[in-house]
Amino acid sequence: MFYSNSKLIIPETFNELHSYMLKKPNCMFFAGGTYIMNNKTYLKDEEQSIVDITHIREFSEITRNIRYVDVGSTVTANKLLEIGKLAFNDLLLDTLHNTSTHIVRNLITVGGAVCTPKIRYSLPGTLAMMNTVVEVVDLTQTKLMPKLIPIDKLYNSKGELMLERGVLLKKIRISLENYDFEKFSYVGDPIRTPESTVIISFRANIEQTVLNKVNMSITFPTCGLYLSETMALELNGAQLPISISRVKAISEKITEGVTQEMDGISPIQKERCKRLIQSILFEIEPDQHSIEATE
Amino acid sequence: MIKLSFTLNKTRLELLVDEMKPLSQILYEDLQIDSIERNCNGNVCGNCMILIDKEPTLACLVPAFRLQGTTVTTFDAFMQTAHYRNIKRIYDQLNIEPCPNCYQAKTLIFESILLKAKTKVQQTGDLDDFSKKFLNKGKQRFGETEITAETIDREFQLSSCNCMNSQELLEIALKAEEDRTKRRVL
Repeated sequence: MFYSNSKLIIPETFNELHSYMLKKPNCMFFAGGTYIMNNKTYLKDEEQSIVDITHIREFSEITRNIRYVDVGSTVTANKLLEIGKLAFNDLLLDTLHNTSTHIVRNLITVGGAVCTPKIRYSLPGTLAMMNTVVEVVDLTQTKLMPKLIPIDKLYNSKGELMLERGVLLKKIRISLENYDFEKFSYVGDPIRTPESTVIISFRANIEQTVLNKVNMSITFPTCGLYLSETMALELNGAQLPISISRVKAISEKITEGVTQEMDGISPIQKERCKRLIQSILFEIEPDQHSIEATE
Repeated sequence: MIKLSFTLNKTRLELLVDEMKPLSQILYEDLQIDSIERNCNGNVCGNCMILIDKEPTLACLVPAFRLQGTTVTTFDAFMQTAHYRNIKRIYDQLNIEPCPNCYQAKTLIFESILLKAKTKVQQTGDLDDFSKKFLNKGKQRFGETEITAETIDREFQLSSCNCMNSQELLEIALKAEEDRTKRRVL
């Protein structure tokens, strides 16, 4: 053990962490600290002990093969950005770039960004849309059984984290797929003004003038994330460019769908969501190269 | 409580503090340094910026136990360094400087941007041909220079004060980078 007292535990290996968790399952994991240091209630909780997991090697590893990259939960956003510059798609790089500033990104960890209890930042939305899976492990059990689950299954309909106490996110498996059109857009600041912020990740394939394999996620930091099935149904097979009236109709339909399914969306978020969807749809252009090749 | 030993402005210190106490509060309450803001409670206002191991960081987001064995430099000590003189020189040359409220935060954001740009140059210097080929591919994809208007806009979101516009900020950053390379400020 690197360090241990009644309140703070800094394990050096995964086994040390596991044996501690078997004895005291009610503790708080600490990695980057951007969320915990923001919360006065956490800081004043005298009962809860803090486990700093940044010294554990398994959680800071990055491994890659042809199809996906496995990223440990304590890898910082800046490190991921540097390493993934040539491997990841533009959508994920844009998302990481727009996750706060360089100074704060040095502290933000991938696991922390995914596992904030009540607030959702930009990264989970993009990762959920990319069909990312996470490996979680229940450290309160004697026999460790790591499970791979889709990232969107970590949250309930209100966007709250559903991981139980003692369950730890070990790594994230990011697929290396590339799409023809990828766009990350946001309005507002998820840390300072979460109640008015809207974040949208969108990707689709374009075959000549036809749109297919459409995926979109909309994140409202205080209400959770929404993976739009309506959008996929409406837009798969659509001819490009999409007419103004169709864009307006689709954006209205999606926004209505979102407000019906999620609680607590403010009028400004609703309007911003509609406008962002419209701006993304207006940006999609037919694949000029393949049209020219056919001609 | 944790027994903490770290270096603050070239002075070795040993303190007994609560493990989760933010550095901004340690500096004010335990060390009576009142030059940094400490009232945002981790709301990322950008005004409590300090250097930990020469890397700009927000003091309100760093708990006490993370300080073990580190070197903390406050803005007052940073003002004695060549890096500060480089930025100050550009302020004087262009006759533009941040207002007193955000002077510390903006200057340290400049420092962070310049450090990041310097790391890039160093990375390209020591690599073999194979890696250089890949980095060049990356440069073509992401642009030659690290300091762009977009970078400046994004990084200065941290300081909520609007005393300078993006054009002025970009001009200072580019001139300071040029000056640093010319004078070989390491």
